Amino acid sequence: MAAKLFGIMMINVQNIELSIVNLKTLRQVERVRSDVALGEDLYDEHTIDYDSVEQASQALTGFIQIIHDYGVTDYHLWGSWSLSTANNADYIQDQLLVRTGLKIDWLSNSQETYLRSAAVAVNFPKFKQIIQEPTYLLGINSGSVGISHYDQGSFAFSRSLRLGPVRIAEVLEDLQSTVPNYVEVLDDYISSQIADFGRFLPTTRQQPSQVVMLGVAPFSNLFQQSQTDAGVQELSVTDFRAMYNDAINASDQYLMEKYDVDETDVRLIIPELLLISELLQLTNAKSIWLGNVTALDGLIIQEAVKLGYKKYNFNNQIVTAAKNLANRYNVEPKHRDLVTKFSLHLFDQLKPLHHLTKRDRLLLQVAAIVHDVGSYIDPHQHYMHSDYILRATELTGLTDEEKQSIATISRYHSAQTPSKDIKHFEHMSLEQRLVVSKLSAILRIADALDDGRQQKISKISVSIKNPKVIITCYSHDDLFLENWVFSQKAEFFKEVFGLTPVIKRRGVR
Amino acid sequence: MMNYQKEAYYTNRELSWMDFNYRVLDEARDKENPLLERVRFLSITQSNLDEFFTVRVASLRKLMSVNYNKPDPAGLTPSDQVAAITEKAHEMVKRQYNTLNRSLLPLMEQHGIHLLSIDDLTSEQYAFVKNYFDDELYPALTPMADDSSRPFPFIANNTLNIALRIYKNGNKKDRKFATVQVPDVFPRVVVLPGGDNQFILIEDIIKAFVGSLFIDYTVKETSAYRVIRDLDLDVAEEDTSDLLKEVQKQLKMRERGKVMRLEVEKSMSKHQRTRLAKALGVTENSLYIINGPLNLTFLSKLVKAVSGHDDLNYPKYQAYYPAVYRERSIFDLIKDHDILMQYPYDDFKPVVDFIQEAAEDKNVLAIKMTLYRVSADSPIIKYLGQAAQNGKQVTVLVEVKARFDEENNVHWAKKLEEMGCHVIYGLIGLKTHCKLALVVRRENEGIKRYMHMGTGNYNDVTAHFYTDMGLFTADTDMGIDASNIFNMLSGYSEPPYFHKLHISPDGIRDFINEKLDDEIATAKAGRPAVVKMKMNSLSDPQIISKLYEASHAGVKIQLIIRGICCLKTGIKGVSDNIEVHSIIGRLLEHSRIYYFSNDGEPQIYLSSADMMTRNLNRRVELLFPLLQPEISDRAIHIFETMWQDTVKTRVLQADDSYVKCDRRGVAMLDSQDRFIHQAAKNVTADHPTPTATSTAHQFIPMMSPKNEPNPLHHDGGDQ
Repeated sequence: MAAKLFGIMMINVQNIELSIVNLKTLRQVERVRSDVALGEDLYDEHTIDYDSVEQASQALTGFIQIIHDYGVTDYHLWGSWSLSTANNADYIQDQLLVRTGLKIDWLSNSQETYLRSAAVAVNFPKFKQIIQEPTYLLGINSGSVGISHYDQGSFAFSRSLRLGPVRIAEVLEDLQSTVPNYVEVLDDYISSQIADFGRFLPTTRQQPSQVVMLGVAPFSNLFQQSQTDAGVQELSVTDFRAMYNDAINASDQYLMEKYDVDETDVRLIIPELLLISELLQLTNAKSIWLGNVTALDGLIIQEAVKLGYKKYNFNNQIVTAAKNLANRYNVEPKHRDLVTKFSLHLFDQLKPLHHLTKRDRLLLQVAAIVHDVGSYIDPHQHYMHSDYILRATELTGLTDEEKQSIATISRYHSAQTPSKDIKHFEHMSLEQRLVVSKLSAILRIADALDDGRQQKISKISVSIKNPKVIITCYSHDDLFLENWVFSQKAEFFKEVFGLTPVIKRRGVR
Repeated sequence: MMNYQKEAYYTNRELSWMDFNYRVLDEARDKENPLLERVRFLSITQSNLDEFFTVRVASLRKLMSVNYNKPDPAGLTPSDQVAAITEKAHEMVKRQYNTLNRSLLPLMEQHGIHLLSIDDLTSEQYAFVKNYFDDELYPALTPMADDSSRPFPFIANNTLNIALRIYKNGNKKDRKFATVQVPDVFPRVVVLPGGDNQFILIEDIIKAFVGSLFIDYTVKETSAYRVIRDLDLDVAEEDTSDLLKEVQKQLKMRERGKVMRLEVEKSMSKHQRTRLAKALGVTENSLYIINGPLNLTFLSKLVKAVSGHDDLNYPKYQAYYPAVYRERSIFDLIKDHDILMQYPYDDFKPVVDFIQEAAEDKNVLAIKMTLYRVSADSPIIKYLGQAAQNGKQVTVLVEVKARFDEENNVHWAKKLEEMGCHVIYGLIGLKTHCKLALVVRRENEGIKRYMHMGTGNYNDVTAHFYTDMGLFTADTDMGIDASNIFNMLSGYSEPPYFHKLHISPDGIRDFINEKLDDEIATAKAGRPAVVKMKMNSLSDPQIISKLYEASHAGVKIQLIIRGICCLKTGIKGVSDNIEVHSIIGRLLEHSRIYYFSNDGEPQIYLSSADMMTRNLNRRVELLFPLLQPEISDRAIHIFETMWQDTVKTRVLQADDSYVKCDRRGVAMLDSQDRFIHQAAKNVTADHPTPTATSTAHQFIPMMSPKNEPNPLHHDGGDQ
């Protein structure tokens, strides 16, 4: 019964939120927000104001009390990616830990986008129907916009734009008093950023799209009328235009009154409207849906899935996004798919050896898809290039730590192994290092099975025969090359698992 | 679009308040009331008037002192208002003492209740008071002479003082003015020996023997006086606050604590009077010459001291405490269906039970509650403390800003904290006026919230003579809303919307306006539209103009307003569809009810809020629906009974007067009496053979001086 209650807290740039939720029914028994703006100076000073830490710790202490009001013992605190980019984020994390006993678990940018799309998919029943047509999910944050694209019923890609109302307002604040037409400058600034961003989006069907928008304050004030407990409301582009025209040249006084915002938030209205307007152009929007879910709602779903109360599976988004990335770097799809297939087969058959989790399997799958992206730079030492590309790329739905794991696995899928070069390993926890080693070992031999890139082996079967792991390969070709490469790559597998993998060919008729 | 904001459409709120106090005075004059109750009503008119001067008149005088001339919605400037108030106040004082001297005192004499003067005493009684003076009073008296070498002594607010003219023995030209404060640690009413119900006032004893304080002097004249000062309360809480905030900076210290009213006994010589008035900075208008004992609040003490005259009081009655409460868990009862409480006819005890059971129930996780005015020996505080000690999470909002009660509230806040409760103090600039108790319970189906919401405070003492209403419910949406209210009061953000509850600031005003707009639309479409409201005061100009608009559109509006009503009835085309009743009876009408016919599907709401600007703008107030048909029907019926009242109802006339119902041809109906009888019937039905020992649920006046019952407390107060 009450054990299913879980307390989820999230620190954002502009506020701190708490949800106490029944993970089985996903019903929230309590939802509380405190408008402590830790990120007040984030985008121009790149630091979190120490003074706001006291307020934040008070708010969190109050949250813990509310959590106790419901006898909840399981709770966790997450922090938004934007805040984690502050120069003093680690100090703030520690200060809050000392004051409240809560340690912030930082989210990555791509995780936030992913969490929001999960939240929309679960909380917005119509979403499934809407995404039959080209649909964009725009998650407007204080300093970034997460853009996810869906078409023909499934997820296509997601990417984030480092532009948000707070960031824009803070970066350009000084201009407001010095330039004659601030709005025009703002517009130029925003459209230049968006234009560049748009050039690198994957191509999509050229037809009007639907847009689902989620946003942070003052977003909710702007679209207040549309907020009800139903959660999602439709707004026509014309309505938005009317609102835009009404607000764009209005005085702060008028805006404060009309949208019931205070002095600190009124400066965000124009940047937000301009940004939305540009985004609607970029996405060729024909109708707009307004949602009121946040990353916190996504965390609720994530926890429910993690603890086994819910069966939602959004892994296909992560996989699709990984394939998108591989395509962007011209990774050869046949080899990619076969290696992925072998990797997962090996993972599943070798469970007694590795004791890894479902999540680790997903990491292996992603790594198998993207491990060759470095060849785009240079096939020679491509694994090195893969490593840094992956570190610098958004991987939808993965934490920064997981991204780091995938980059490292990719680095070690080929010539190098961790045993020879442990430099990268020093940053990782022992636990993470073990996972990376095990997954690298598997990926290495899976990759070796198609070293010739000719898909000679159509199918494998795996059996553990101590001290060997027998991999039976179904092929009608000879496997001399594969055998030779395999024996080299198998060395590391032996180091990690203590068993020697060997190939047996079985002919296929 | 008609203009509903014309000055002619509004009654000044201060003058409307004066009318209210006249209505209370009428109860003192009403021969149908038991004699001692009439005496009590007279006492109440005094405390009401005093508070009115210390707060309201003081605010107006401050505005005058900075030449603030902006008129109120009725078109009166502050000085206009003070002039009009003064006139009404002098008239009121005259009527108060006429009532006392011509009716009440003679009637009390007839019943053997005697308020004696020093000359009436028997020798035994004289010896008694002489001893009393010598042994008890004398050491506590501090005479202060006024001469040119020192300033006039400070005379504290609402203290009783005796002015003396003395001259040096052998030198009649050496006259001096002296003053002695009557110490307030002694009872004003002294019970005399030698017979039942013989009393004398302490000032009469002091006057008789005060000469012994002045050795070598002869006392020439003794007469009592009293001042009412500007108490310099937080004026920001008052309706005029926006104005006062503007002018506050201009107010100089010397404007503060000024004397608003000087009362002197009729016997005081003109010379003494003039001297006092000058020394205290009082003008002719603020000087009241009193034909009788000063400060009539002593009457309530006198009545209490009377023995053997139960027949001269209201008969005691028994509140209804359903037998089922003794047998079943209150949580089960609430889960079955919502429960509507009508205090004091329904016993307040279930509210105490609610907290007590929550404190002991193992499934209860948390209790949250607002406390505004707490009784001196509150069982609720006790059980909240017990709950905390039993490991429940207890959050209590203590509103420390409740007027005249700050100290008491701070005391309880500390006490609760010591007992392990989490005490919160509400929001800066907003008094928390909503009455809300929330219990979070872990049940098989998950978390369940139980609530009590009320129109009156969680004060088990005032609950005996305030008519309030309350709702017990376990409605899920209201529970979420209630949790959100407590979060808001803890400083967290207001949620984007409330499901079923409405909260001021802003929320209640918006809601009432919306509902009135709906009724207007219904009326305009030619369908019947009816609005019924009951509140303590109606003074918000915007709401009033909206009511006019509704009346104009054809909405029938019935208002039951005990106190201030700035709305006028009978203005052609503006308010001819509005009727205003005022009920003043033995119990203080305190419930707030808002009913809308809603195009044939009536909805009824209860609230802690009056339609006063301060309640709608600067208070956290709560308005809640009665959703289950059984209880909403009952609430509608309760309103109907009060509307049909023909005994204690006064009807507001177009000329601003309040006139009692014309009873010819209609059945007598005293609504409070009717409810009391209904409660008695319910009690009998539950307990067919009442046993002599079952007095446990009879009202037992366990009132400490702190909780002096004041059934018709000054209307501007926060009850």
